Amino acid sequence: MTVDQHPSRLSPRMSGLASEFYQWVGAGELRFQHCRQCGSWQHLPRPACRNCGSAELAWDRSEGRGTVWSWTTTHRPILASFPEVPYASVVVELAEGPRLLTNVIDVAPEDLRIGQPVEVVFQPISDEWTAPLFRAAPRPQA
Amino acid sequence: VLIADGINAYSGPRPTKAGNFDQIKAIGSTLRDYYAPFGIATPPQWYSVMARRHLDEYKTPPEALGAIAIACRRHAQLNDKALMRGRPITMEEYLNSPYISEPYRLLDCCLESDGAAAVIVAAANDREAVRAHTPVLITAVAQDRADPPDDIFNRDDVLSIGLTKAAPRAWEAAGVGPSDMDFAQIYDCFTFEVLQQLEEAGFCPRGEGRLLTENGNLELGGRLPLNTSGGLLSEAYLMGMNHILEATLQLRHEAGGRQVSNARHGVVTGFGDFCDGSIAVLRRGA
Repeated sequence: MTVDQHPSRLSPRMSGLASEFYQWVGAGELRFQHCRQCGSWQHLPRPACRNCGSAELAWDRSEGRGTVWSWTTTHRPILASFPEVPYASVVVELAEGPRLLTNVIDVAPEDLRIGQPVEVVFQPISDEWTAPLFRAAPRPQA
Repeated sequence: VLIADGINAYSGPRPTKAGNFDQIKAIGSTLRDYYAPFGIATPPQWYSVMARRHLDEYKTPPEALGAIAIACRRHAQLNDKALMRGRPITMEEYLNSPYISEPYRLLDCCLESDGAAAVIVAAANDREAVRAHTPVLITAVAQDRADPPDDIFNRDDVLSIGLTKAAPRAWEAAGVGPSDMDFAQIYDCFTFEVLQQLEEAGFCPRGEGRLLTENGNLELGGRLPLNTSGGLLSEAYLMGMNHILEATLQLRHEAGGRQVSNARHGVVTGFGDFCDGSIAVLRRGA
């Protein structure tokens, strides 16, 4: 397993809808809210569907595959929990639609490309939480 | 009504560096739970993710952002109060300035400064209030937020910002349009946000902002003089209040060596958090 380059990364607060999202991640599943009324997927999790307003949202499982949508490469350290620079914070667009800010563990910042296929890996950070990180996918997706 | 604004962004504490996201209430939960665990906690980081989409899709070159930094810096040379007076920059210096949060370089980023500014707003028919100066009329104001306002990365249209919705309302209410403006004071937290706001406010179609930055269009004497005080990039970061002051001086024709000749119409924008936007359309009252 690839080692996370940011072992001191800040934990999210385990409360509310964020806690539901990260509890699924901790169980090794990437799940997003999926509207039972209109079929929209959404991230961030919310009390109601952004598209139709329905509160009938279920946590449905994502295949965990997507593409690099955009990123920023931080060259000047700003977070005490991310002292090593440069590093890339990457937005991945999942096949189901939601976009997730994450880190890609095995691609150097200068080698990132928009549209590059990636897949989720579940990286335990502490006893409290697991981070949904990504790695280059073995082959391009259809 | 006195409207005052002050900030100690240079000497004061940095809330996000201390990890205190609770101080940033409107967007703090998103930062705390979904961005900071992956290394993003500050505006140059989150805006540069959006900027990269534009640079990639429209082939916007770094020189377009550099031209904005240079225009502001050039105007600061004409402003006694500008922190960057005496420190002009070239395109080569811009391109060689170190990355902060790539694609943003140091010279894409506004200053961190201490300062304050204030304006007095009175009823247009208040003769007592307006007798000391040529009045500057607020012909329209509007503000709006992007959708959703609390997450930049899951927008259906990532380049649509609060100003995209607010600007058409302001232009309609003012009865004038972008082509009528003699100058623009655009909230310049970062260079790309200037280009983006010029596009979204209708000064050019989306994706063509780079053309507007060419040939000195944004410099004094050009088609649309930009941030004539030096702006947040080169005068001081005062959360945008200095843009309102500068627009007022320009429309009074009291801007000295950086006066836009015969300025009659001007626009000021504001920008914040995850792309909330505001716009004021102003007119010389005499």
